[in-house]
Formats: sequence, structure tokens, C-alpha cells
Amino acid sequence: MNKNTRYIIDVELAEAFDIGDKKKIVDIYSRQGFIDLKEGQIKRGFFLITQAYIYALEEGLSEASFLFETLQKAGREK
Amino acid sequence: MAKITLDAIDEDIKKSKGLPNHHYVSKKVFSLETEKLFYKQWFGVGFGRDIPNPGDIVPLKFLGIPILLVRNHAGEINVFENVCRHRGMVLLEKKKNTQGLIRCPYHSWCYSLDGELKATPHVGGIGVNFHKGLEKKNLGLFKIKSHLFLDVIFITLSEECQSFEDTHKELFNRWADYKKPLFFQKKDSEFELKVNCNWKLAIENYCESYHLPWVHPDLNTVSKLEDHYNIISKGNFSGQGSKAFAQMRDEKGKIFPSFSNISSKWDHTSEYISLFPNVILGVHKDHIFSGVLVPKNEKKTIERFSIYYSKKDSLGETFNSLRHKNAKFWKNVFKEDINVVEGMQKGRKGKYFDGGRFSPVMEEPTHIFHKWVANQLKF
Ligand code: FES
Ligand SMILES: [Fe+2]
Repeated sequence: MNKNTRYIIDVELAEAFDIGDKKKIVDIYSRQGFIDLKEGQIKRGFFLITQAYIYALEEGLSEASFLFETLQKAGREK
Repeated sequence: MAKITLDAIDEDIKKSKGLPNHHYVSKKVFSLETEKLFYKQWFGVGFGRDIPNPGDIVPLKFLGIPILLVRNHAGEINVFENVCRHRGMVLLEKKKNTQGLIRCPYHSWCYSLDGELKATPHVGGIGVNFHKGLEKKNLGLFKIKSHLFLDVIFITLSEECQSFEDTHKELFNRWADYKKPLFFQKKDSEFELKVNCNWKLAIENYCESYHLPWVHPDLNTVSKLEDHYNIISKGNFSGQGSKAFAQMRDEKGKIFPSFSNISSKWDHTSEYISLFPNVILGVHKDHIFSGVLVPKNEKKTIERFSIYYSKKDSLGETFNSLRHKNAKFWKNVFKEDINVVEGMQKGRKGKYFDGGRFSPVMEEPTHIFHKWVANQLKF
């Protein structure tokens, strides 16, 4: 991913945090997490997926179960 | 200055004195009483109506302890210490409703509304969310024993304290008729009063009917002093009742529906009880009220009240004006007491006042409260 895309995501995320839009936060983290995994950035990818998972849990969003499975399969969640 | 010991309180009411001044003005005694009269007992901290919906969470600091009142997704009430098991961060500062979990704002450990620790992000390193040294099942929120009675949420911090049912068996039996669903209307059935007095003075005043003709002259026209009787328990409550209760009517003569299957004894009877330490209750055949006294310090108390009706119908529009009238009536009664409870607080600064005396006929209920206080402090 080039520097420019990353910048756009950071701005998007900051905005979502500003307005407290947890659903959006989950979307941004997980979207980016999966991109990172695909690009072989394993540590960073699971970091972001964990972030997405936690906010999904907090809000009771349905995404939580898929994110949990992803982490569990990778041996990162029990 | 007269020196009074707690033994002088345990005397027969004809000789007995009341609690000495320092029980009302001393910070040291206040914290001793917090330990012995609250933490070791069942005490009221709030109402079920504070958390009406599944997922509602209310953080509060009651006598210094941070707690969470929670209604889980199944609708049951839980009370927890509002402190994260990780590094002791307070979990929530503002009330909220959630469909999900409680997330600690510090490192985002997450807890279910039943207190289980559900997630510990990055605890085993970045993106690794568990560690064998940290067993989630042993790190749930500290649960505080709680019980709901007449919509008051009672808690105890004591391990030895009997169950709420056993502690208050006597009152349960006395008021068995009121073990019924209660209906609450937020917009006109709650009120709060700030009073500049020690919490005990509000309890003492509520126990007795001796002051009614002087402090509540209006009340005395509908329910005269001679219609009142004392309610004496073996230990942890006391109060007064009226044998001249008449249901309130609106301009058209309409009355609230009564509780179902209630004994005819309540047709003309109402009862008012202080449940020690800090809850005051009143029951009538068509509505009840509950009050929780929140002690802020040795000379400041917040009184929170809620009125509940016997039937859902009573919450409807046709009863709007009657509900309004009823709430106004009770709020006024409690407001009329502010002057005397605050006046007694000021009086506790006197150098010579020696705990005072009780009317042997009229004030047994107040004496019972003083004896309860004195006895709890001995242990
Ligand atoms: S203090 Fe709560 S997660 Fe660290
Ligand atoms: Fe009164």
C-alpha cells in the first residue's frame, strides 16, 4: 500500500473517532487489517483485526463473530 | 458537657437518650458508620428504574465506592465494582446503554454484562489476545451481592451478612401483599431533594408521626394524629401507619386502580417504614413509594424518591392529572420535613445538647433506630 492510501485511512479513522462512530471504526480497522494480511504484513494485520474485533464487541456488532474466528484460526484468540 | 455513652441509648425508652452529637457532625464517626451501618448491612443504592432497559449501565459512587448498576441482556440486575481487573481503572464514568460489552478505556479489556472477562487484546503481544498466565475465567468483574425490593436496589459488601430475604423476613411477611409488579412513569413520578443534614436525621424523622400536626398540618386534616400507630420491629425497621387512609381523587372523583388480590385491611390503612440504614418506604392500596437516602458527607444527604403504581392503567393519559397531584403531594410532604431535619443538624452543634429524650408513647420507632445504630457500632 502506498503512503498516500495510508494517509487517507488515518484521516478517515480520526474522523470516525471524533464522532464516535464505532461501526465505521470497525470497518476501517478490519478493511485495512485484511489488506495488510494479504500483503504479508501479518503482525500489523492481526493488530488491526484485533482493534476491529474489540470495538465490534463493545458495540455488539455482528462483525465480532467473523473477526473472532479469523483471530482464533490464526491462534491469536481463544 | 454531658458525656453520653451508647449504653444510655439501649436503656428503656422512659430513660433513654438519643445518639450523641458527634454521630451527626464528626467526619470520623461518619466513616465508622459507613463501615458498620452500611458496608456490613444491606443498604439501598438506587432503583430498578434507573436501569429500565436491557443493556442499561449506570456508574455511581456510593459512599465512596465506585459501582456499576447493570441490567443484562436478559433483563436481570447485576451490581459490580466499577473497576477493571487489569490495572484498576474505573470502567465507566457516564451512564449508557449497550448491545455489547463493557470495554475498559485503558487497555480495552472487555467484560460481559454478567461480569465475565471476554477479551484481553494484545495481552500476549501485538495481535495475540491471550496469555496462559492470565486465565479469563478468574478475572471477571467483582460482583456485589444485590437484591431488588420494592424497586430499590440493595447491596451488601459483607461476606457474613445473611441473604436479604432472611435479613428482612419480618417486613416481607408484613408486606406480603405488595409483592407485585410495579409500574413507573418517569416523567412525573420521581423527585430528588438535597438536604443539609446527616442521613440519620431523615430516617429518624420519617419513623415517627409525633411531628405530623406541627410540620404537616395539611396531612393532619386528612389523617389525624390519633389515627396513627407505631410500627415496631424486632430489629431493622420501624415506622408508623395510618388507619384513616383514603385514596386520592382527581377533580372528577377518579381514583387509581388498586393492587390485585390485596387484603381488605389496606382499604383504610397505609404504612410508612424506615428500612435501616437508608431506605424509606410507603405502601397504599393503589401506589407505593420508595426513597433512597444518599449520604454525601456527615452533614449532606440527597433524598431520591420514586412513586410506583399498581396497574399499567395508572400510567395512562386519563390519570395524568391524578398522578401529577399525587407526586406533588408527596414531594410537598418531604419538602416540609427539610426545615426540621436541617434544624436538628444545626442543633447538633450545641455544646450542651445531650442526645435528647424520646416521647415514650409516640417515639418508640425512632428509639428503635437509635438502638439499632448503637448495637451495630458495638461490633
Ligand atoms: S486497566 Fe483496564 S484494561 Fe488495563
Ligand atoms: Fe414528616
